[in-house]
Amino acid sequence: MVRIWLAAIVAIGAGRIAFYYLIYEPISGRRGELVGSEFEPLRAFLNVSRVAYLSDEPIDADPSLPRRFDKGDMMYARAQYALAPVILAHADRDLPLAVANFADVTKLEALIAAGRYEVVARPAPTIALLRRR
Amino acid sequence: MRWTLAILGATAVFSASSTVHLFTGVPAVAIDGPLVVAASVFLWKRSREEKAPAAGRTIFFAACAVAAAALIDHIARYPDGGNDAFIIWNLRARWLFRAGAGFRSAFSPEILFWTHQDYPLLLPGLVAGGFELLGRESRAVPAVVAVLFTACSVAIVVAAAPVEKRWWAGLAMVTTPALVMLGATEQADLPLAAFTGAAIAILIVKEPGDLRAIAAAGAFASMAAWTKNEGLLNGLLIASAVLLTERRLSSLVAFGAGALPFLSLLAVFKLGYVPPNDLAHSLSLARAISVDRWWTLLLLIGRRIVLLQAWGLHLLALVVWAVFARKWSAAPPQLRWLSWFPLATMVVHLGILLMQPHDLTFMFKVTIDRLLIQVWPSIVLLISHREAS
Repeated sequence: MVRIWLAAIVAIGAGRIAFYYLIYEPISGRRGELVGSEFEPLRAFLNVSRVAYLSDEPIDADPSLPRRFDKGDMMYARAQYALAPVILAHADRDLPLAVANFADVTKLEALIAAGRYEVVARPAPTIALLRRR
Repeated sequence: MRWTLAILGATAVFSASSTVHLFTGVPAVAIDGPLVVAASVFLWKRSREEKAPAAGRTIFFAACAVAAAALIDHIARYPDGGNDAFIIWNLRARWLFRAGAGFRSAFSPEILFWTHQDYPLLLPGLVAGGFELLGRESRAVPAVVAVLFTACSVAIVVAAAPVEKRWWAGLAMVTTPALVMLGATEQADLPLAAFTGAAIAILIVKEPGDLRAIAAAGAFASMAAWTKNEGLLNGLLIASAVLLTERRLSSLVAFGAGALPFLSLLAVFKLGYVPPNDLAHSLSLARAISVDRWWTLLLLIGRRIVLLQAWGLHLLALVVWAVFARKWSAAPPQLRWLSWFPLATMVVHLGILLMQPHDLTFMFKVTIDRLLIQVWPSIVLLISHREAS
């Protein structure tokens, strides 16, 4: 009797693994893109150890507070993954170079139009490497 | 079991030697070389391990084939792993490889704290060491490491389970959906599970009073501590179980002596290189006495036990066994205290979940499967030996 129950548990576990990974995922065509590949073109311009990080999405910078800004955190994480070992200093906006990583392209356009930065590289509409004027 | 232990030990030493090289400039080969000699002697010794019965072996390997296909297919679809893989582990590996002598910037407090700069370096060190060997970065390196540790966490259970229950114990591991999920997303929890399982396995199969085996268990427990912060808790609880079981100071000294090299590395890393742990300063006892949070936690636990996606029926079976069937068996005397290790670990983790500042439901959902898988090989091993006795 115990063996039958064990066999059922094992069969359900194996069935779940087989169904999800070998049937559902292939049929649904799920595939992740290379994380941070949109930032790769910026690496050639970054010969410094730190750059400022600018974004229209807030990030969770205080560990003592509940996490609220998942979207902003993930945007930062993707950029940092691609651009390591250059530190994306989210709390220091006064550095000469800044990586701008925006969710809304119009907000990035507005930042550039404000004239405080010149564009060094812009590999995507929402991403730019900026230099302070 | 010897081969599994040798592979696990070799990965840990290979990783540590590349980290020591970064920290001190000592050539990695100065550490790896003696290891190769020691491992060769260890593997050359004649093994007295018994052969497992053929019954169940085919089913076990069929289940392994399904799990391996699932694991490899998912990694091929998501070559950067899950969120924590690229936010923490593979980010740090890239950093160590790309920065070289400027590696200290990897632990800068200027980086977003969610990248957990204070997490130990076994996994990033291993992946960075792989990059060094290849001479370039490759997403295949963390993928191979993930498959290796997933296999080792199953292998250590199969190798150390009682002979007549070997394939059943292996099946319990390899048919756990969370095992494939966490392996395929390149998390550090399976390496931690494998090292912790190795320490437990050694303590289970050792001869009474064997101080060398206890020292080896200490070494593997310390490798777990060098993998993730939770490993330190595991090591402390296992050391307590050793002391309570053996009831002599020499056992604790042996365990500590085995753990010393990796714990020294961990201490140097924690005290000399990284900012303080973000969680340590944000825990609050007041949150732990909130009735609302307790109720939320109980509901979450109940739901997780019956959630097929992550655990199939494995957790439900564990609860049923603990409530109804456990009383019909008795732990062997040498495992009486060790048997409480998984429960004690989970109690501490649930306490931390209650005390942390973030949304409890969110944190439970993103951490509970990892915390459970860290002790899953130990649970399967301890139950199989209890049932066999």
